[in-house]
Amino acid sequence: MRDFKQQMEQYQRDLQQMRYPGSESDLDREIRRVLWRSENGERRVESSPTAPARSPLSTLHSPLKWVAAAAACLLAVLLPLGLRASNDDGIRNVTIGGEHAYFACNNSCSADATIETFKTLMR
Amino acid sequence: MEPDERTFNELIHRQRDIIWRVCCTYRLSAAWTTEDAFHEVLCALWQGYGGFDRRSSERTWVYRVATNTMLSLVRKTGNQPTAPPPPQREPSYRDDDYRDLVEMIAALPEPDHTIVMAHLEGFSYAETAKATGLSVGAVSMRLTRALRKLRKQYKQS
Repeated sequence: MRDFKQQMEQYQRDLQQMRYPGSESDLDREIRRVLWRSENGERRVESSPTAPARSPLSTLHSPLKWVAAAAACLLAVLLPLGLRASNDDGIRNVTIGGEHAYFACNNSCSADATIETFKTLMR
Repeated sequence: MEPDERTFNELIHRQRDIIWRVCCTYRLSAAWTTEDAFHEVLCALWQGYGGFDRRSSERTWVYRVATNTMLSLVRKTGNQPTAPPPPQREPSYRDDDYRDLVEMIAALPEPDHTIVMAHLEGFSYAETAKATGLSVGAVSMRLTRALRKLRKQYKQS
């Protein structure tokens, strides 16, 4: 059995020989990950120092944006109805949010007129 | 003080080995690698860097933040600190004794474990006191007791 003091000294030498195993660029990359994480408030970043790709839906944070998106969907669905109205009697009955809104189209009812009408309704 | 990324980068490059050793000193749950722990310590160092007033040495400050971060992770993951595995050495009949000693150090309760590791890192009593938040007298007393206990255990093993 080796002397306690010798073993402690050996352990101390072994400890002090332990080095960070990565390269300079590994360490730089790690530091960039830390700074990125600090800026973005993330708890744990698994691999990349760059921000993860955001899905298009992730940009729809605010209620205003959701309203705008809903209005765009409504337009996409109802625009053909408006176009078909051109040969009707000029009166269309449209249901939005459970309420009936009436708007008039004359015989030359166009897509632009329909869009303007929906803009008015959405205000 | 507004933290400066360039000087922080330089600090980490200077102190990377001691940070790595501290990370190796505490074994976390299987979900955590030493690299994960290293990353967490760097985050803690960056968060504290703006408040580093340089009243203690840079090395002592880094050691304190790294140790506190690792102890916090150990508490969260429910694991006990353990000594780092020794680097590859020539195999010898003495290795069992050596491993026993490493395990005994690992089994020391806190803050004795941290104090012994700081001693092995070459910190003075005053530096260890700053790193652990204990008084110099308390560090001296605890280190003496811990080494005495280790010696006794080692001789009995």
